[in-house]
Formats: sequence, C-alpha cells, structure tokens
Amino acid sequence: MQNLLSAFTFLFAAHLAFAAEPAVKFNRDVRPILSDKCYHCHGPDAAERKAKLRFDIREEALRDRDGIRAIVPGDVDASDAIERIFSSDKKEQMPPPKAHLDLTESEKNTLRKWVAQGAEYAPHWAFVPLPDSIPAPSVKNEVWAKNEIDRFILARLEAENLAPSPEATRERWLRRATFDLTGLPPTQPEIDAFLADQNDGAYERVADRLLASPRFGERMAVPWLDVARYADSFGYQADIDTHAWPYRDWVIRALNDNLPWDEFITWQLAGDLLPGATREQKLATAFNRIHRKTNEGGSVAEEFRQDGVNDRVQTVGTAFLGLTLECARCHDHKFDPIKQRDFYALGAFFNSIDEHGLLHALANIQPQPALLLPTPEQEQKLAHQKAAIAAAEAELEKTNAAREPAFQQWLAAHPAQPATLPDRAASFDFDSEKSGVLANAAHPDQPATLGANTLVPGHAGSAIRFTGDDELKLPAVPLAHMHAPATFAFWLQPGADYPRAVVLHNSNSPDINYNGFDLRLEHGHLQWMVVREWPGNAIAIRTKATVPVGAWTHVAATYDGSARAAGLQLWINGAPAETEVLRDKLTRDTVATNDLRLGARTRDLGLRAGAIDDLQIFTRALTPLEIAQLHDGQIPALENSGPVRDFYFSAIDPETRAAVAKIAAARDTWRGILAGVSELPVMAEEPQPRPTFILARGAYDAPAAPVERTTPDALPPFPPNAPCNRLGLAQWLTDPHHPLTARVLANRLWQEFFGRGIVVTAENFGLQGAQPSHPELLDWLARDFIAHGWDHKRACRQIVLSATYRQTSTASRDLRERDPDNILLARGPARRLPAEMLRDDALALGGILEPGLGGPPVRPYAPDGSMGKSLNNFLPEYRADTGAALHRRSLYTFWRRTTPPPNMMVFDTATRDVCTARRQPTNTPLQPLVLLNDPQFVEAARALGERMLRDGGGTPEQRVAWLFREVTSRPPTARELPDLVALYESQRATFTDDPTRATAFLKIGEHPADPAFPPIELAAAVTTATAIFNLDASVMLR
Amino acid sequence: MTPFQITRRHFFSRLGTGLGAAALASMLPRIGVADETTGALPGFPNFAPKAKRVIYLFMSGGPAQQDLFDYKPRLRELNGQPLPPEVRGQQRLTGMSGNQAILPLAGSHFDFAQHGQSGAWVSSLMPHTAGVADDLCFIKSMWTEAINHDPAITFFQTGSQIAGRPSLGAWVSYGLGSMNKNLPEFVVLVTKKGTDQPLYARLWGNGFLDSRYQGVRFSSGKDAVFYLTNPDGVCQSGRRAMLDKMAALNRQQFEAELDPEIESRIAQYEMAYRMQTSVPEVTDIAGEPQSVLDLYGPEAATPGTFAANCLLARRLAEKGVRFIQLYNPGWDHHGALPQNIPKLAKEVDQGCAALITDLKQRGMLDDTLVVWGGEFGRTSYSQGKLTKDTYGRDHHPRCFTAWMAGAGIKRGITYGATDDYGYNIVDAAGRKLEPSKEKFTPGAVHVHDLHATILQQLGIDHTRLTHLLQGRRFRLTDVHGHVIEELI
Repeated sequence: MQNLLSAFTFLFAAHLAFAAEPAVKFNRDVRPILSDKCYHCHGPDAAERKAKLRFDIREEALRDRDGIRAIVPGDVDASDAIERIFSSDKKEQMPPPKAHLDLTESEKNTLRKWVAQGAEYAPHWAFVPLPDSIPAPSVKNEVWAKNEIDRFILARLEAENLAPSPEATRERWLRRATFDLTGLPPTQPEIDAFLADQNDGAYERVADRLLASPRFGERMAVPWLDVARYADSFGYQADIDTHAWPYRDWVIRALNDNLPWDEFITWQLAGDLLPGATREQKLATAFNRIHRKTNEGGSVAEEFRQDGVNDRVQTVGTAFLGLTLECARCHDHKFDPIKQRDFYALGAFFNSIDEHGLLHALANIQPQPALLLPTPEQEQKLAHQKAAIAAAEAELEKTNAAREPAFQQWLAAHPAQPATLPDRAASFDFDSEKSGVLANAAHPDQPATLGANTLVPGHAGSAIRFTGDDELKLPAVPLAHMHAPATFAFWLQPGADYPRAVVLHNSNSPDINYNGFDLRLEHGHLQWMVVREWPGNAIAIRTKATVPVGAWTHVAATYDGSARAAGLQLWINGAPAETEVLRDKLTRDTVATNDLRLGARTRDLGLRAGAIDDLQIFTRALTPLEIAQLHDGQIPALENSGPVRDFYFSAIDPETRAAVAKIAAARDTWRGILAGVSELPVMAEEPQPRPTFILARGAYDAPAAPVERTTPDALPPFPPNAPCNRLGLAQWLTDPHHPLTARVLANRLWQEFFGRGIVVTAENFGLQGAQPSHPELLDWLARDFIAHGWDHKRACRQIVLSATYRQTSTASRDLRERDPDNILLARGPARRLPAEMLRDDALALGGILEPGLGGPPVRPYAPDGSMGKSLNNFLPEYRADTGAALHRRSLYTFWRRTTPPPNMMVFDTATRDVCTARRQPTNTPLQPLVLLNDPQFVEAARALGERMLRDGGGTPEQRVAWLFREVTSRPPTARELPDLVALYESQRATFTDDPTRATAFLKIGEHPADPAFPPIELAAAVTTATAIFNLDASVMLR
Repeated sequence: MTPFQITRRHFFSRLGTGLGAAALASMLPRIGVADETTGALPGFPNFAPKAKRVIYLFMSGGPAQQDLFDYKPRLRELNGQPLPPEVRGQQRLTGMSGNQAILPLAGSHFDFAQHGQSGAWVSSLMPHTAGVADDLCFIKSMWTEAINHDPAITFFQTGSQIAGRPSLGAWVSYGLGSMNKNLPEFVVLVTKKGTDQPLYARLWGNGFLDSRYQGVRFSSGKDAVFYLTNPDGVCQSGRRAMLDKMAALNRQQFEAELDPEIESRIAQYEMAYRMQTSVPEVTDIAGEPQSVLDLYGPEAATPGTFAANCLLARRLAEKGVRFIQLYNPGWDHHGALPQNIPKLAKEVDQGCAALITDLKQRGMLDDTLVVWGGEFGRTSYSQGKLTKDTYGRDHHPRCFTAWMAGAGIKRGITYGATDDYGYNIVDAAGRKLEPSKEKFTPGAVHVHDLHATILQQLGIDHTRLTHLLQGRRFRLTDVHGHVIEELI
C-alpha cells in the first residue's frame, strides 16, 4: 500500500509538474524531434513507411490499430509510442538502435510532455501563408529602435533579459556598411567625410551613396551567382567554356538598376514567355541553362538531359522555395510533404525546350536553344545583309521572267539533255577497283579508297558493301557550310531493318552530338538533315515511306542551300518522296568537316551489310527531270514543259545562275558576320509540352506514370488564371501570399549582412531545416519586401540603418558565452571577409583595382600546376592574363568548375557545381599562406606600400598609422602604435641585412615597382602592409 | 583567464545550446592549438582500429583486369569470336562501342603465371607486384554502377556519382581528426604526366564538410603546397619577426574583442609557418639511403613520378598523415592496349611493390592499409578493330580487380571470381551473380562495400560516420555498404 501510494504520489506530482510547465510548442519543440528521429520510417514517404504508421499527420498518429494507439492525447500511459521510446528492450525500443537515431533524455521528455498536454499539431511554420501584416511587438526600451526591425530584435532580447550592445563607432559602421553594400573598403577621405558630417541623416546619406554605386551590383551578384551556380565552364570531363558571362553581367545590371525582385525572378524563369520579350528578358533565362553539362564520349544523351532538368528543379527549390526538392527525385521526400510526383511535375515546367542532353565537342557550338548576342554594330550589319539577301532573291525572280526568250532559244537548239548533268562533283560506279582504289569519273584525281569494305554484285556492275564499322571517305566534296547546295543520288540496298544507320554524313563527334550534313535510315525511313546542333538548330525531313531491306532502291537527297526545311528534298526511285518536317530552324553555320563519309561513323551504327551503287554527287539541288534521269538512265527529250524549264534555269541559263551565285555570295557575307556573333544558351519554349513521366528510382530509362505540369499539393494552388508554363510558375512563386519565396529571399538577404540567416539553414526551410530565430521578424521582412514592390535596395538600406546592425560587435565574455553564435543579435555582426572581398580589398588598397564593369572573365595569377592542363589534359595550359585583367574584381575571375582557383577555394567559395545558398566559413592554415605569399596579394601590398610612402607622412609613426587606418578603417590605439612601429622597423632591419633580397622582392607581379623609392624602404613598407592586411582587424569584418 | 580558457569555455558553452557533437568538433581549431584534442568526432574511432592510416593508390582511367590480374585463358581460345549475347545479358554499353557491328572477344597478349605461396595469378606486366603477391589480398569481383569516367571516379572518391559530396579522405579526417601538428591530415599526390583523363580538385574535396577536411595536394613543382614558400626576398627570420608582431597586435585585438576566432587565427598562422618547414622536410628525399631508392626503382629520384610519390607516401605516413591518396592516370586504353598498357604497368609496378616491402620492413604494414584500383574495369571484347597485333577495351563496370594489403587485411588471398569471359561476377561454383546495390550479394564487392571495409579497418562503423545536412544524415556509404568480413 505504501508503495502504491508513493507511486501514486509520484505520478500525481509528475502530472502537476507537467501542468505547471510552459506548454510545449509543436513547431518549436516537437516537430524537429519527430522529423529528425521518426519521419524517416513514419513520415511522408509511403515506400519507406514501417507498420503503416505515420507521425506527420495527427489523425494517423492517433488512429487505433488493432487496439494499439501510438499516441493517445493526454494519456501518456496508453500511448504506445511513448512507452516504446522509453523502453530499454532493444527489440521494442524506438527508434530502433540500429538506426543510430537515439533520442536524448530531454527529447524523450519533450515528447512525453507533448502527449500529456494533448498532442496538438500545428502546421509547419514555413508552409503557413505569409500574413498580410505583422505588427511590430511592443518593447520596454522605446528609444533604441530606429525601425521596425529593431523592435523585433529588442523584444526578444528583453524577453531573454538581455540588452542590446552600444552603437558601433562611426568608423566601424562605415566599414561594415561599405563592405556589405559594395564589397570594398571605405577610403580615408570617405571616413573623414563621414566623421565630419554631424548633421542629421549622415548615415542615410552614406547608405544612399553606397547603394547608388555600381559596385553594389557587383557585390550583390556574388551570392546570387552562387545560387545560380554560375561558372565559366560546363564542368565534367572536358570542362568546356560556357561563354555565359553576358548572363553574369545581366545580373549585375539588374541589381544596379534595382529591378524589382518579382521581376528579377520572373525574367530568369520565364523572360522568354513575357509578351514582346526583350533581349534582356530572354538573356535572363540563361539562369536555367548554366548547369553542368558533359561531352564525355559514350554518355547517354537522355540521361544527361534529364539531369539538366533535375538540376533546374533543384535550383528553383533551393533558390526560391528553400526546399530540398531533389530529395524527392527517387522517392517521396522523407521529411517534407513533397511527393516524387511533385518533383517531376515541376520538372515538366522546365523540360520543354528543344535541347540535347550532351554538349557539343566543339567549343564554339553553344547548346541550343540559344540567343544570339550581336553587338549593335553587328546587329546593323546583319540587318543590312539580310536585306541584301532578300534583294538578291527578288532579283532572281525577275531574272527568271526576263529569261523566258533565252529558254525558248536554247530549247530550239537542244533536242536532248546532256548525258552528264552539270555541276557534278563526284561519280562512283564502283565497277572498277585497282589495288583498293575506286575511280571517280567526275574527278579522276580524287579517287576513294575501298578499305575494309568490299565490292559485291550491285544494281549495275558491282556495288560497295559496308561492314558498318568502316567508312568510305570521299575527300573534298564541297559541303563546307550551311548554305552549300548539294545532291546525292545513288542506289541503296539496306542490309537490315536498322534502328538507325548512317548512309552519308560530314559530321563531327557523333556519339555526343551531331552537326553537318547527315543522311540516315531509321527503321527504313530516310532522314535528311543539315545540322548545327541537334535538335535545336537544324533542318531535317524524313520520308513517310520506307525503303525495303535487301532490295535496290534509287535514292536522292537534294538541298538548295536556303537553310530552310523546304529546301531539303528526298527522292525515291526518281520521284519526290512524301516527307514530314522534323526540324526547321537553322540559324548558324554547321561547322562540319570537309570530308564526306559513307556507310559508317565513328562510334555510331553504320550501314552494316548494306550496299550502295552508282553514287553521283552534285553541288546543286538537281531538278525533277535530272533526278528522274539519274534513276532510269533515260535521257529525256526536251520539250516546252515546266520540268524542262526548271532544268534550264537551274542548270544552263548563265544569267539565272549568276543571280543564284549572287544570293550565295550575299549569304556568305551574312554567315561571315554571324560567325563573330556570340551566343548564349537560353530557354525557348516548344509549342507542345514534352510528355513527362515519374522516373522510377530517378532513373532516366525507367519512366512510370505520366505527370502534368503542376506545383506540389502541400503548397498553395497554382493560380487558376495563370498560364500553365514557366511564366505561370513565376506568377505562383511571386504571389504576395506565397509562404516561401519572400521568406527565403528575405532570409538570404539578412544572411548577407549578419553572416547567418534568421533561418540558419538558408537552403532548407523544410521540416528538417532550422527553426527561425525570429519568426515574426522574418515574416515582417518578407511582407515589407513585397509591400514595397520587392525593392531590393530599399530592403538593404533598411537593414544597414537599423539599430540592430549599428551595434558594436564587441562583446563581453558573458554575452559570448550566452550566445556564441550571436543568434539573438545582442551585438553587431562579425565575420571573416569572403574570398572575393579579401582579394578585392587588397587590390583596392593598392589602388590597382581595375574599375571596369562586366565583360569576359579574366585569368589572374595562379600557381604553376594548380589549374588547367596540369590536372585535365582536355584543358589548355593555364596562362595568366596580363595588364589590367590581372586586377579586376574577383567576380570576373574565370571560374573553371573542375579546377577552380585555389586561392579562392581556400576561403570557402562555392564550387558552383550546383545551387548553393550558403557558404561554410572555415579557418585553415592554407589561408595565411595565400594572404602572405600569393603574388596577387604581394603585388597589391607593394602598391599599398608605395601609397604609404607617398601619402603616409614622414615619420615611421605617421606612416604606420596611415597604413593601419587605410587597411582597417580605424586609427591604431596608443598601445598598438608602438607594435606597428616595431613591425615596420623589424622589416626594415631584415632588408637592410641583405639589400639584394629587397630588390628580388620588389619584382613580384607584373605591376612595376615605383623606382622613385629606395628598395629597402619600399620592401619594408610592403611587408608591413602585408602584415597589417593579415591582421584580424583587416580580415574580419567586425 | 588565459585566451585558451575562454576558447574552451566558448566551446563548452555551445554544448548547452544543443549544437551537435559534429558542430562542436568543427569549432575546435584543429591543428596546432591543443594537444588534448585531435579533433576526432566524439566516440570515434568506434572500436579499436587495425589501420592507423591509409595509402590509396588510385589507378585512374580503369586498368584492364584481363591483362593484369584476372587470368582468362578462355579469352585467348575465343579470340575474335563475338561476345555471346547471353554473357552480355542486359548490360549497358557505352556509346563508344555499343554501336559496333561486332564485339569480338580479345584474349590478353600477356602471359600469366602463379606467384608465391598463395599462387596468385599475375601477368607478366607486373613482375614486382607478383613478388609481393603473398602480402596482397586480390578482389576480383569489384563492381560499380557508373560507366563513364566522371561519374565513376566521382563515385569511387565520394560514394556518389553526383559531384559535391565529401571524398573518402575528407570523411576519414572528419571522423578521426589529425595525428600530427605540422602537416595536413589528408594529402593528395598526382603523378605528373600528360593525363588522359582529368582529375578534379573536387575528387579530394570536402563537399559539404568543413573545408579543412579537404585533401591538400602536394605537387612536385617549386612549392609542394601552393603558396607555401615565402615570396622571393622574404627570409624566414623576417617572416618570423613579422608573425611575432602580428601576434602581438592580434592579441591586443583579442583583448578588445574577446572573440575566440582571433586565437584560432593566430594558431593558423603558426601552423602555416611550421608547414613551411615540415612540408619541405617531408618531401626532401635526400636523406633516404640508396638501398631504399633502389627499392623504389630508377624513377624514385624524379619528383612527381609514381615511384617518387610512393616513397613520399611512406614518408608522409611516417609523419602521421592519416590519409594519403595517390593518383596515377592513364589507364583508359580504348585502343592499342597491348602497346600502351606496358608503359602504365611499368610506371606503377615497382613503386607499388616497393611501398609494400618498405612499409613491411619498417613494421608499418601492420597498421597501414594500402589499396590499389581504378574506377571500373574494361571489356573482354575489343573496342574497335581486333587485329593480330592489337585491341582496345571499353569501360566495364560489371567486374574488375582491386587489391588491398596491410592493417589486418588477409594476406595472400583472392576474393571473388569472374566467369570464363571475364565479363560477369560468379560465385565459387561458377554461377553468375547478379549483384544489386539494394541487396548485398556475398562474393561481389560494390564500391560502397569497399568503402565500408576501409572504414572498418580504421575503427569506424560506416553507418555511424554521418553528417547532418539539409535535415538528412549523409554517409559515405549512403544507405548501403557491407563490410566484407572475409577480407579481414
């Protein structure tokens, strides 16, 4: 009885204790535990779900299952889940020991308390619609707040019994704001001016000056380019150059012009779909095309096309939704309410462009679809030349009409067509072979070599029979460019019903992508194409009928050089074949080889056991009369008929032929101008959405159920009136009530100024992401951002002017121990300068930063063997640029995905392989080696040392004080000054010991040392500058 | 309170904020600060390790197993015959040979013999390796899922075909921390040559782990570590004086700011300074006796050769570097294999064998795990024309050979087998196995299994070496991997 009573007392007390304790909050306290430790097996993923039990939905968790209930609200003892998490029986215990997901005692108690208090659920904070307004909380200290941001911060501090830190010195705030808004240090005159400006609005004036600087766009572009995984090469094996820098420059322009962020998003996702889309709007869609792409031999195009689409979904997920959508690629998301179906349904928005999965081996062929980016001068020349082509074509029409009398005259004089048709380039009857050489009747000096193929009885005499692996190469057949007219006529005997078989081509890199002229069989259908990049930039037709296997069929393929599908024609047994147009967009040259190859292609399926006879090649699209003649061998009588007239004008009439030559010349000129025009892969929507499927296990070759374009069910519905395409998706994302987009953006913006987001997992707002430290503030920032037209500069201004941001970052030990990560912001932010700012800082301090905005990427100094060919034989040797290119801002440094610059990577830059929303700051011994020894930093320090000698005053004290202030934006303290002088003197002493060292030292880098300064003096100034640059006061932004 | 005390309090105060152990460990300045920590994750190693360190000899490009270790006399008999479709099964071929009109079987041009007590079959291309065969454990039944270089090598180095995951060496550093104060814990050595297949920095990258876990590549150029040497004209005494004054100034800053980050920075500058001495010391082989140089062969004295890197690997191992990754590219023999593979074999054979012998002589083989292998194997049929003189071999992920030695790995055994065609993995009775990543198949060794076994020898339960990112616990072995008990 006694024991029972004690037990009762204990239980009663325990219940009392629970009741007296503050209520457990589901989102804050419970969901993180359930999500992290339970959802893997009892969560949204149906495939992984154990015991058909799920904890992410309350009704399911509470459901009676054969008399057992996992959770019984208010009844801890009846809740099987609680019993099992406290069980010490390894077989009963949850989570099971082998999962290595042990719950801590405190986590177990939280769950018990939660059940005891009624097991209430609440929707995940990030999926709750953004409220229309968020009132700023009331605070006790009414004088501290400068704007609403501060009231949210202060309310939390007051709740935690903390006070904000004092305001930072003006120098400290100026340094902080100048780096945060421009990525560069303030100059001493700027510091002086700010210190002198004691009028109201001094801080605001500085903020406005910095926001108006073109450096703002460069600075803010860097985090966006991390998100957009912008790089100057495609990554993967050969890591070919992207030439995508016009997109990077667009980002800078958009940020400097303060393009509202709803439009910033819309242009990048769907600029091409905007009514009357401008070049800039189309250019912005490169956002979805700069993911990695390979051209490794033997890769499967479809696999990599799908990878590209997946990357677009992943990027949109991270960049705008803060969701790890990629986790739902192979199965339903383990933690978040994202189904595998959702992943592919979102992918359906991004897959309907006419693209190839692999990159062309030729670096100068950009993946299609692509946007031509002519300079204004080129644009004008192209327009002019287009008019010239049109004029030449009109001239031809007139010529034809005028030459009717000439035709009649010629007809009277010529009873029959010539036996040998004009413009013949090659003629092989395959009837005679001498020592493996095949005679060319049209050009006896250009025979062909039989090789491993054989001669067999043919349609007439013998024919060439192909192994399928050995091509017959015909040299010097003129198919040099996209406007080269041609006719190929021959007898063809297919050896099998080939899924695909090359008949003839002059293409490159067939296992990766096609280009050039290409005639092939696909299951008996003839396909005839002229290709720059398949399929996005090509003209192609295909016969509706098939060519029989094993029989002889006469085949002709003609092309008139017009770069239009209508200019392609296929002929079967002397008559035009009915064809369908597969592609009709050829905008640039084919860049193919000059050799024609028959019967096989490297790494492709050839005309195995098939044969060709009587091959005739012409440099003109023959007319029907001529094709018929090649087919039946009958020389037709000439009469006053349409076909004969066509023949005459095409083959005979000198004036018509001269007019045709003029068109060709005009096209040549146009092509020449276009050859110099750069091009950028962009999005361009196909008229019909591509059929899309869920891919089982994420495998490209395992399509399962079909899906339509749609957004995840767990998120707000797709706007009913929006177009069901990327433009509609952008509308959905930028809807003022969307729960995620503005929160995600506001959070990343906050991260740029405070070093960590309000949600520290900036890349994940899902159930496994971090809880917001200040949820109401995040909502307020997001709502405020939308309410003010997604005004980016305004949002930045508001932050740098807040009292929160203006606090000093100096903190007491107590405060540091209480809040080591400065989550509560009882002090100002402090962080190491990121890689780009460190290097730009050095260049700016040296006065050698090249101020130009935008342009092609540059190659600064790099250690031998660190980049390029030394690691990747596909790449050229890394050669540093010379002159101004060495001193450009770091965001212009050529970003080679496979061998990024080591002096940047050491400082935690993103690799730019995939979308990155947050960098991980680290501290390694390789960092000092860069800042102390990299020629880039040594050279910049020399320029800074010269400035000190020039501008820093006469005495060592004056000089080091000037230098220190220049580098750290504050004067040295009285205690620091003697140490600085001692530093300077020690450096002077080492160079005085051995003056030759000073001379050698001053030669580092391309920028010449000023000979006006004595070497020892200058060398000592330089190492002193290096030392100060390496100090915490310099590399940490406090 | 000394600066270090605040540092410690700073760390321990974070325990109370609920930060995970990994986050805590990541804040401990790893190198050069405190002797009491090596920066290992709490609870690591999980059990007594057999291996203190790993030397991984990565043969990039994919060596042809049929010409080196996997003896297939039947291929010679069938030379020129087409690969039977039932042997190929549903196997995916690359676009490089998949469209060939014929896939002719190609017998090796190189003779095989049995070696040592164990009777291991080794081809005439690897005479030195044959000499240490009794110390090796051959795995004939390695397999992978990737068929192209980039995904395959990324898979081998990071456990995922998708770029961006931490490399094996980074995972080991993350789990076990450092054993020395003057050198990085993860060093990468690449043979200096015109590489035919690229090697990317991300192959030894830290992925989503802290960047201090990334491999530090030692190059054979002027600076073994990029930016290691002082600029021309700056002497060590001048640098020392500079660092001393910087430390004094930084300490003043610390007193004002009380930010432990400053202490950590001072420590990193000291570590960098020590590396300026320790790295040249470890890379300078002048003190090696002639007998050792002879062991590694004539190329051992030429910096950047594979032999020199093997010798350097032993020196790094002696100095407490935990993970040493060598890369020898050039094995991608799509064509003219009989002409090219002897050069590659000669490049690596003596160095590999010397490393084993050298470690053994020093008693270090007992706690050094040596691993040899490429990212996939090569086809038994010829890519391109098979002629009397030559053949090529395309990529083949379905079976290939690797070997391991030392640190508790069984000596002189061969694990796993392939069919007479050298095309599929078979069991002891010669029955074809269909290994799948989803379900462990005894007899077949998947990449994840090899990783699990390597970690096992290091005292790590591969299922416990995790990193929480985006809410997911990432593992080197994903949700797969089985320790191959028969090897250990």
